[in-house]
Amino acid sequence: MSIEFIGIAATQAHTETEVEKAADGPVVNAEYLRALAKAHEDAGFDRVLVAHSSASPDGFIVADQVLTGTDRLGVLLAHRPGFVAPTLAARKFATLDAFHPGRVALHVITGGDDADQARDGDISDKPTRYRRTDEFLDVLRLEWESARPFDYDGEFYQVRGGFTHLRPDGRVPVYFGGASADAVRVGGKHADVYAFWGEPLAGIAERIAEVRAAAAPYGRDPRFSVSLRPIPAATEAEAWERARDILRLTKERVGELKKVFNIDGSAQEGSRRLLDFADQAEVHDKRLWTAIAKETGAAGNSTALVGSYEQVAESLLDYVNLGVGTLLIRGFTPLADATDYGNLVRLVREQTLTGAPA
Amino acid sequence: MTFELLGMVGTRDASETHGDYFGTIDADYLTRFAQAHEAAGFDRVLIGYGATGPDGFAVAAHVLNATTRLKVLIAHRPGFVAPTLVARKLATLDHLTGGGRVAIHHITGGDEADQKRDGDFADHDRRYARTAEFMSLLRRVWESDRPFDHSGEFYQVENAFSTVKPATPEGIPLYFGGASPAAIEVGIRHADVYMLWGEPRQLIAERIAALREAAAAHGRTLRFSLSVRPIIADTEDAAWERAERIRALTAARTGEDHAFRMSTSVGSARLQEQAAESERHDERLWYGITALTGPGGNSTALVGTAEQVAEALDGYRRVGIDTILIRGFDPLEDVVDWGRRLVPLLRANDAALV
Repeated sequence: MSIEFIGIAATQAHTETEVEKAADGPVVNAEYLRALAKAHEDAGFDRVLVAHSSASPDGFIVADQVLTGTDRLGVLLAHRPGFVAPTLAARKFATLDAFHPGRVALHVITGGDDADQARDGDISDKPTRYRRTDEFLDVLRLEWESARPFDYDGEFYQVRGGFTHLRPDGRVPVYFGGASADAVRVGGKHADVYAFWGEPLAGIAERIAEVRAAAAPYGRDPRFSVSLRPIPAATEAEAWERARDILRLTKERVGELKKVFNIDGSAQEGSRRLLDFADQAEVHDKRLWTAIAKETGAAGNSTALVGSYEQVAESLLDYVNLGVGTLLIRGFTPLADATDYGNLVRLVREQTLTGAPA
Repeated sequence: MTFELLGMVGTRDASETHGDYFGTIDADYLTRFAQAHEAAGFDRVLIGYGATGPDGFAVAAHVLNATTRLKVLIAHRPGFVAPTLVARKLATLDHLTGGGRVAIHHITGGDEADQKRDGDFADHDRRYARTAEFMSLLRRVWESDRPFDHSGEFYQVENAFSTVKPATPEGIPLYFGGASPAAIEVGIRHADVYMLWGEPRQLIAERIAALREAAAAHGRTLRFSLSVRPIIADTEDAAWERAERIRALTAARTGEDHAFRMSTSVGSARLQEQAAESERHDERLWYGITALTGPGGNSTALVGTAEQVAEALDGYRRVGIDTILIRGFDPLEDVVDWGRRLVPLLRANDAALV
């Protein structure tokens, strides 16, 4: 199976180094979104991630615009269980799939940040949220797959006669993220693709084994995704120069970032793992750079691969060799990077298709 | 006084007389249907909600993408999506489709079986109380320039905030429907546009007067919308013949699921009582389909020539209706026909009314 590349959708320039621009422009810039989607499609990406947070533009609407503005690019639409009834969420995904067949995937995030959950009215603790995610996905699949009206009686959801004709027929894969024991238990049961942030190779190998063990009792054999922030350049030296610039800009804005992103990753197991790796070394493996993760509290995909295009592609292939089938890569200047990453996409695909060690 | 003409789109070719509302989405049909409304001179189209049906937000996005100036009215039922999230959905759609083309219609759920399909077991009056809190939160998210807390009976949020607000100063209008005392209490406080089904003119005049007075007590001014099903033909006789054919086709299908069997809707009960009194009210308000299908939605028809139906609609305009929602029994074909014959009359008469 060909390696899947996922990029990032955004409605405005909005990253560690682009926050300043965000304050000037509109929060929803339709032209920027369209250009970003098109750049990904042209660069050979398969999908773009449409993220979710409790103060941001709504992902379903953003996803629809991405799909409408491109010909074959797919979306990975992040969704937090708990804010939409699961039967309705199932129909939302199925409706989007009906208009854009085979181009929609669901990314289940259970919410790392209590304050962000509370903004939308959820005050449950993390173990409770994962139990809810479990039920949410049970009901979602029933709504998608049940040939006749179904009832459901759970701790969080009760349904009588749930039914729809809108069935994606397996066209909407379920991606799942989370590093805690609760996450692995629920993700093992439900995930088609289990997503990790960019840890060193040994960490990813460990986590793949852990998720495979959790999935096996359900007869499931999930695929795996790793999220990284490549910083490639023509030469390794230039790439490190770029990396240092990015770190400098990030440090200048760390206060603003906390305010704008307003996310505290300290309670998240996935963030804690990245911060531990960052404490151990600034560079892991050949070129996994942890400085941005350390600076920003690792509240998300924040570790980078720094090097020449060939070197970064080689490091991406190292993950592929561990069993990773999906690479989620996004940059620090997303629009320019999406185009630039076309080189990485091509190099990795060439290597995996020619039977080189992959 | 701005007169607004509303149509309605669905994702399949279906009505009481033919087709199946429930099934897979026919995206091409929806595109043609939306474009037909725009070409016919409609201002906006309603997108319905059902607990087995497509998601209205995605349907709305498709309609807005397929047209250039047509607006949408997305029906939804409070209780299934967090209000802060709905506020962001609407504002995002508003921005990504040019601004000023999005409105939201609140239906509080007349049918309990359909509510339970999506996991809601609250009773009628409790649902309206929830709708009130929901609508006030929508406005607060749009209007708040700083994070706010809310602790209500149904919703609690801490530091709620949206970076995305409605795209135009006019904002995103809140439409609302409901005929029960519980509904009226909510609508007069929170609605911008109060939607009524097609009842006799005198009753509509009375309801508007009562709603206006009740809203005024809260310092509010409402707009009013009337929903009705025109059946037009070249002559009045031909129109009544057409109505009879529609009745026969519908009768042949009764017994099929009309999906409203556990109705707690007061509006539906009112229509059923009026249908029992007489099949015809005023000059041409026809209850033939209302009587056949039982409690449901917008089912009363205006039967006659285009001129006669336009005159009947003008009659409602004179008693205070600002917005007219018309939907046919041959939905796409009727829109095309109305664009030729009915809409120009409504626009011309409206100019004279002002």
